[in-house]
Amino acid sequence: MLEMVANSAFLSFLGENLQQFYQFTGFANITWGHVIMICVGLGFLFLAIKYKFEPMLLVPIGFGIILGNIPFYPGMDVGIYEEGSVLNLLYFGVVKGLYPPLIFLGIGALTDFSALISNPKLMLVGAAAQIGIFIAYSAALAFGYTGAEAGAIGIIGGADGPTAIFITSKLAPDFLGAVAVSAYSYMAMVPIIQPIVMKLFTTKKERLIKMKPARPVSQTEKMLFPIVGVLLTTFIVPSAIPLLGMLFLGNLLKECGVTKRLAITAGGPLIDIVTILIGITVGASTQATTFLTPKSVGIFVLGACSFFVATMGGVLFVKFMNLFLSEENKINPLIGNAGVSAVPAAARVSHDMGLKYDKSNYLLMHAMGPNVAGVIGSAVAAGILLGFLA
Amino acid sequence: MMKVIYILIFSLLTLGSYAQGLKDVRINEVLVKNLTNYEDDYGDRSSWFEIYNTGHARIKLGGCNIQATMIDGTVVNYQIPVSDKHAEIAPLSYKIFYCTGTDYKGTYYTNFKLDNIKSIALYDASGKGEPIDKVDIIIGDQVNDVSVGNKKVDNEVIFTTLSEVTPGSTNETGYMKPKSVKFLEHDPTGGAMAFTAILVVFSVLCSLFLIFKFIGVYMVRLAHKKGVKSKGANMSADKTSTSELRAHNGEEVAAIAMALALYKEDLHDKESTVLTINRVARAYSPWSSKIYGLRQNPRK
Repeated sequence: MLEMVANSAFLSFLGENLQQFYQFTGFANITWGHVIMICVGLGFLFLAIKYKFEPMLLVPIGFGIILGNIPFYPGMDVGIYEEGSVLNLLYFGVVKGLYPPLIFLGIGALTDFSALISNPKLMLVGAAAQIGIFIAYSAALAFGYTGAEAGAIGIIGGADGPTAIFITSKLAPDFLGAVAVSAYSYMAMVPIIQPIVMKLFTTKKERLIKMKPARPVSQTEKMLFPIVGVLLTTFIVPSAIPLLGMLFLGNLLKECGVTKRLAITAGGPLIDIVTILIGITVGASTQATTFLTPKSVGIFVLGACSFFVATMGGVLFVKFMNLFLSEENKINPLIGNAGVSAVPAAARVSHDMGLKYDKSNYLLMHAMGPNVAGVIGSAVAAGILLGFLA
Repeated sequence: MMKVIYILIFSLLTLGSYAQGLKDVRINEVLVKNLTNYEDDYGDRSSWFEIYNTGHARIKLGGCNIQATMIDGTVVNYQIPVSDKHAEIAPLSYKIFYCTGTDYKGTYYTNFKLDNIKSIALYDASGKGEPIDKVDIIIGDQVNDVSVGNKKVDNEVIFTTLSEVTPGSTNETGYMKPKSVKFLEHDPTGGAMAFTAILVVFSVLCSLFLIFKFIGVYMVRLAHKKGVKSKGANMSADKTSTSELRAHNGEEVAAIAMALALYKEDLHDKESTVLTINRVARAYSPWSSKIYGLRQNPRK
């Protein structure tokens, strides 16, 4: 008899504990928002693995979205917004703008600016493509976003993930997830979005323009570029020091010839580590409760407009430049899209489009010029936004 | 002669910038009756006034004059020691002067008190002419631990009684509009932002373009010069090689490089079964030497 009582007490104790355990599981706390966001994360993984759309970024971000939207009982110190949790500590690098400059260091160490140095007028294309940022800024203001929020939305048009994250963390931290996901999504969709705009604003004759081969660039010029670049750009826009400073430092490490090990680290293990951290934390920051809002939808719509206008700005500016250039110096407007940065995806799009119309028209190296100029241009534009709005 | 002109121009420019910098300094806040408020470095409470650098440049204060006019008309002048190299005010920063009447205590302690003050004025090193800034104080209106200072009222800065004593910080203690909100008030459509920003982006990249255009031209000339020199030295040997090089344009070179790379890759695949024996050489180092290892028998 006593044994039976003891057994029933144990069973009720076990039942209570199981019920309590269930309350802590994801199944007890799930909402439709979580389901939608997990599907978005799975979608990112699918695009990255199946179609190889920016897999280095979309895999960590997609996985981060899934991690950030696993439902849990609040107060367990596991969520990204719960102070002291592991994800929260890693997210510190995003909130304080630590990761983007480190990524820029790596980008600098990986980038060859020869194409730009050999044909420096292509820098202007990189400047023209930044128009998308400011058109989107104006549009966001018209839709009722605050000045700081509009600045964060506008930067999506720069098509530069680290810059977008850096600016948003300073101007509108609440929009971080939406802006980052939007920026990286559009960057991944560069091969889909940009050809439409490029076709729309160019004639067949223009697409067939063959550009003069670039002149060889000496090592001295390559070394001078980051030094002159950092002095000039940061003196004019000091608020862009973290991004441009690191970009040019990385490039100097690569080009100076005496810091090979540092350049390899910056362009290899360091950028890989930071990319994983930034991807996973930005993805995890898209928790359904903060992400699934009408404002996020607005961010995606305005981000797309910004991207569209930026591409258009680059292409049209090349056409404008061609009005003043001699026949042999004419630029193929198909490289105008590369001014939006998105290195090197945008340049690859120019190359593929060029080959589509003429099998012997190789535009990749020409497009790399505006492409890297776009990185500098978007960082300068970001500095201006910070200077005016932060 | 030219050297003298340059020195004169430089001196004038330096003086100009110095004077321009000083013009940015304002007397920002004054507390006449300090009973329970801010303490000086000696732990004493005394009257004080605060100056504010509204500019974006560091300004040297050494040599400047502070003149206090008392109710009876007497004027007391305090010159900030020129010898104090650290007497300067950082951009958008504040400095507090303690009016203790004991200037031997330090640079920021004046030789006058504010008990019977009528006005305080800040002058440049000459101590003459128009003051850089001057504030009138009605001594009868002063309340214990309540300061007077510059405050924005209806978009106009006036010298008035402050709601809080704020030594070393802004007098605007109410809600401060964020920069973006202020910017939006002046540019609601974003047009000015777009125009300015694009202008700046273009000017930055245009400057880079011009510099590297110039560097490029210089480098091409330099390469050409070097080419001519070496051509002169090996005229006969160079003739064929130059013409050969010219015959290949960039695309051909790229194609040859690609072919070589592919060939090497193939070579690698085919050679995967080839065994290469390298002589193993151990560089001697006392750190890696086994002689000093533990496998040695201990000495008895």
